[in-house]
Amino acid sequence: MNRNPVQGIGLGLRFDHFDDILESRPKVPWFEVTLEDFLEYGPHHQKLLELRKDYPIVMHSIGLDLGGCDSYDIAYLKQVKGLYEKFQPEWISDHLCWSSSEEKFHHDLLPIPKSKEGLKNLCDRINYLQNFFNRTLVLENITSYVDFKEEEYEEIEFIEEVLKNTECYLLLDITNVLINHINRGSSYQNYFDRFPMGKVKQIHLSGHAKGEGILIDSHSDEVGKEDIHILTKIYKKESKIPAMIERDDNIPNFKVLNSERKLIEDIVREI
Amino acid sequence: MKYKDILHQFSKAILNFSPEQELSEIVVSHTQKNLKIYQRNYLGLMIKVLSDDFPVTKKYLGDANFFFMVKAYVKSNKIRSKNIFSIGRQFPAFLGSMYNTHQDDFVDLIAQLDLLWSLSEENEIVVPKGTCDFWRKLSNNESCKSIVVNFDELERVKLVIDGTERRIVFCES
Repeated sequence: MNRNPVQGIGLGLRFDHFDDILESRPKVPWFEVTLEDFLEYGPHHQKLLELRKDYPIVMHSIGLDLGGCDSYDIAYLKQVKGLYEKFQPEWISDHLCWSSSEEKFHHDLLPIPKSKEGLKNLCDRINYLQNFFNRTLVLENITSYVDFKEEEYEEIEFIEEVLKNTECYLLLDITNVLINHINRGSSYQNYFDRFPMGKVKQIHLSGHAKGEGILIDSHSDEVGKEDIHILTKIYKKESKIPAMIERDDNIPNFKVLNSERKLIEDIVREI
Repeated sequence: MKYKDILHQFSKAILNFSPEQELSEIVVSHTQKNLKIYQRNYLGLMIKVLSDDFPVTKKYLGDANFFFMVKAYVKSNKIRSKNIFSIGRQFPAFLGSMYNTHQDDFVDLIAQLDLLWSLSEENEIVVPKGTCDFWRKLSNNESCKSIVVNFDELERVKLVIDGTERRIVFCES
C-alpha cells in the first residue's frame, strides 16, 4: 500500500526562506510550493530539485482559472504539466474561483456566481484539466467579499455538485471559511459540519487582516487561535488531514515561521 | 444575465476602478461596497510587482509619481500577461507613450534598463549614450549630476547571466 508522504503540519515555501531551508534541512514534514513562482526558469528550479530530494511537496496554483470562460492557452497548460513532471509534487491544487475575463488577468481569486451555468462551466473545465494533466485536481474554497444576485446554490451544495460531476478532491481553507462567515455575521459551525471532509486532501491555515469593518484574507499575520481550534475539532472528529501555514505578506524569518508551525504541531500531536 | 457577462461586468468594474454602483445589476446591494477590496488588491499587487521589477524607475520618478503611472498603466488595460512576473513587459513602452503626462523623455529609457535587468534570460537593448551610467549610479544611490546623456549617440548594452550572478555590460558596436 502506498502511504501518502504528505502528513502532519507543513509550510508554504517562500523564496525568502529557500537558502535557510537548504542549509539547515529543518524537520518540516512537507512543503507547499506556489506553482506560478516556477513558470520561469532560473536558479530556483535547481534549488527546488535539491529540496525535493528531502521533502515531499505539493504544488499550489492561482492561475488555472477554473471558473473562467476564456479558452485555455495550451502552451501554458503544457508549461504547468512540465512543472508537474519535473518536480513530481504529490498533487496540484487550485481554487474554486476565476481569475480572467476576456484575456484580462486579475492575478486574484474572484468568486464564482453559484448558478447552474456557473457550475456546468466549472465542472467542464475541471474535467478538461484533469484529463489534460491525467491527474485529479485538489480544489480550495476561497474568500468572497461579495454575494451575487443570480445564485442557485449555497456554497456547500455547490461544492457537493462539483464533487459529483468531477471527482476532484478538496483543499479546505479554514481561515477563508471563518472570514466569509464573520464578515456576514453568520455561524461557521454548520459549514464545517456539512463540509465533505472525506474528500479533503489538505487544509490551509493563515492569518488575516482587519479592513474597514471587514476581515481580509491577507496571509499577513500568525494563524488565529480560532483557526487552530477548528483544526483540532476536525482532527478529533475526522482524521489528521495534512495542514499547512500560508504566509505571503509580513513574512517573518524562517525560524519564526517554523516555530509557529511547531506550536500547531504540538497542539495537534496528542489528538 | 449570462454567466460570462456577469464575469465580464465584475472584471471591468475592478480594472476600471468603477464605482460600486456599477455592480448593482449583478451583486447583492449590501456587498457592492466590497468591490473596492478587489480593486485595492489588484492595484496593490501591480504596485508590488512593478516596484520590484522597476526599482530605479521608481527612484527616478519618486513614489507618488510612480504609483500614479502604475495606476494609469493598470487602467490602460495593457496588462495581458498570465504570468505575474511578466506584467511589466509593456511598462517602458507605456511610459514612453505618456510623455504628455510626465514631460520626460528619459523615464522610459530608465524603465527599459530596469526591465532588461529583471529578465530571466540574456538580452540586449540600445539606449542613448550615458543612459546606462545614469541608471547604474541612480541604482547605487550615487550622484548622477556629472553624467551627460547624448541622445545623438547610441550604445548597445547587454544583460549577462552567469549562474546566480547578473551584470549589464556595454557591447562593442
